[in-house]
Amino acid sequence: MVIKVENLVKRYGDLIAVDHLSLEVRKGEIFGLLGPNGSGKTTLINCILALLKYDKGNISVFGKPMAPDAYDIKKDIGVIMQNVAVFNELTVYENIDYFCGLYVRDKGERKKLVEEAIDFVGLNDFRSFYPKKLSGGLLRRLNIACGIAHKPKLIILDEPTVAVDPQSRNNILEGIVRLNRQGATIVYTSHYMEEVEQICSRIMIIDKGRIIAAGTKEELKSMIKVGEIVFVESVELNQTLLDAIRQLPNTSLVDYKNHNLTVTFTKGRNNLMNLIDLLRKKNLGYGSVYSKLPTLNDVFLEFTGRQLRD
Amino acid sequence: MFAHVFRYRMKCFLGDRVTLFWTMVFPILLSTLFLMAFSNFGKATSFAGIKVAVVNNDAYQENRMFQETLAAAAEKQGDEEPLLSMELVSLGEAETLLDQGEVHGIILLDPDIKLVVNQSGFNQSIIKSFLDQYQQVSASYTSLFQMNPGLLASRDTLKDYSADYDFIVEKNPGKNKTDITVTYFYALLAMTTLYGSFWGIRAVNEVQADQSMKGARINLAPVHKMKMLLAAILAAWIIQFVELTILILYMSMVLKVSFGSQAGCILLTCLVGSLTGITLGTMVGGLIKKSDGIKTGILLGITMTLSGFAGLYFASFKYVVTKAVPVLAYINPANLITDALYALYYYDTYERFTLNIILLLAFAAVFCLLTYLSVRRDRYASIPSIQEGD
Repeated sequence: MVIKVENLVKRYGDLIAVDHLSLEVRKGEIFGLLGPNGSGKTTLINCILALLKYDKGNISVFGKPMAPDAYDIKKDIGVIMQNVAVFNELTVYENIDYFCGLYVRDKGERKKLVEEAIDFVGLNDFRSFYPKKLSGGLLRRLNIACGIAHKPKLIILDEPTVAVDPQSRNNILEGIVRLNRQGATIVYTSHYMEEVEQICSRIMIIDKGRIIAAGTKEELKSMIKVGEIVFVESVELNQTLLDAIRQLPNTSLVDYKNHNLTVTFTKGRNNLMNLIDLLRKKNLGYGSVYSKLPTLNDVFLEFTGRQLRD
Repeated sequence: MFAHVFRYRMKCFLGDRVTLFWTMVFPILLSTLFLMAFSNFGKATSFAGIKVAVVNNDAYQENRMFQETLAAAAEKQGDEEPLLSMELVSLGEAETLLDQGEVHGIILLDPDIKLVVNQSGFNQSIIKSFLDQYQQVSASYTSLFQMNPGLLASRDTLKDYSADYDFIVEKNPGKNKTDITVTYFYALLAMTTLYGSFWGIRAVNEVQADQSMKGARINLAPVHKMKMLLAAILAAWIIQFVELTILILYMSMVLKVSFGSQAGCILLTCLVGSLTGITLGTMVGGLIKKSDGIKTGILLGITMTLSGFAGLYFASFKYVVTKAVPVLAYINPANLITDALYALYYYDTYERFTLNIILLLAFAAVFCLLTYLSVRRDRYASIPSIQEGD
């Protein structure tokens, strides 16, 4: 086990930021921590990293108790925080070299690692640039390079794609998967469910410091009643027809707004076919029809009654 | 590891243009402005002969002794300006000159000596003192000659009677001539020394996870943060010392401000003062958990107040404070720095200088201790700098 958290409680005055939370991160996995802003993700990470005091619980990393002076553990951890933490007075190369030098003493080895990190994040053409001259996406890449240059066994990324353009976001996500393939265990926190779904092998959804659900994305989706959501655009319906739709098998929720119909079905077969047959029998014209499988947002919605981004 | 951190801290500080401006360029500009302001300091108070109108009437023409005395007072003696600037005119002309403000007074023999003025003031008082002294001395001579007519033959004896004697000898206690303007320059140096606290704030902020993102990242590294802080303080100390040395060289070589001849002791003052300034910054940075701007504002307030008490705005204020509240002079690092430079400039002995240096070192030790106590914590209760997206 790379990380083990048992019954962790962290309070800020009367506010419980982390509420009796336990988790385990296994070697070699990409563990996703998903939750809305203010759910306690960063607080949990900071407790794991021994930056924050906590009220109750046990935390171990690589099988040893985590502490501020546990330098033998810290040397194998790389952290990328959501805010960029680099020195504006140092170039790209110097920034990576500085942070890498806090972990690796040997100059020759460090030089090789810094070159690898620059290559990994694709900053070869910007190595002599100062951070102020870099775009937001390049700056994020530099931030990542500073956190991973020393080749850590455990990499914790706390919302690394906030305020990043789609192209840079894809680069970052691909990089994380590559790091994992190279042997690093990854803990990835985000409030973007698509990212977590895309790269994480196991996911924990938290809200108000509590675990809402945990498992693989398939396991999480199987925990909820929603099986399929069907959308029908540009359709004219009256109350009688809406009632008829509600009578279809597995129908859970019917929503009709601005001539657009959304029907949520619980798990079952032929839901889409049943709906289309009904519309045809009533001789109703309609525009596009499509269906989608439940997302992690639906999981979050069903468990909390709120959208993930509320 | 220490060398690695030190090298990069040095590089970061040298690239910090804003702090470099305030700790080096600004004092150089300010010292130049001081020089421009003080260039007329002596000239503004230089003495010019007091303009008087002497009424040229019969009584004046008959009094040869008075004529000679006035002529002597209106004559330039070497480099010294004459006491009087005299115009011999008629009574009517004299009154016109007085009304027009061309002269400060009218000397009229009628036959007694009279002084006519249309206002009282410094110059009028001097003319009156001069005339009173003349009357007193001439009355003494008259009395002496009446009692002893033989004295007329002895000019030396007469000289003895007419000479002014000072029974108090003015002696400079130190090796250099008193110059009030050096107080301002020394206070400016003290202010610059305490501006080293800006480096101190940065040094401490960048090792505290609850103060900056960089601090958080550094706290995650397998390095003791006190080692990181020490490397930063050492880098800041060297930079601040070099900046002060440049400022002193500029003041002494370009502005011709006198610092005496003990360069080693002056540099020691800068070295110790820099350490005190930087550790003041680390202490404030460590104790006050506010934004960088608020901390800098607080330090600026402290620095300017302490420098003010050391004579930055009004040189005499330093002496007023020292006389009224002696303790305040000893607990003000800025005053200790100016006093150390003062002691080197004026005194041949080192007692006062040594005391100031020891007190500065004591302050640095206290600031270091308080910095350590405020920074040493292992974990933080909250980390606002990285809590935003939680």
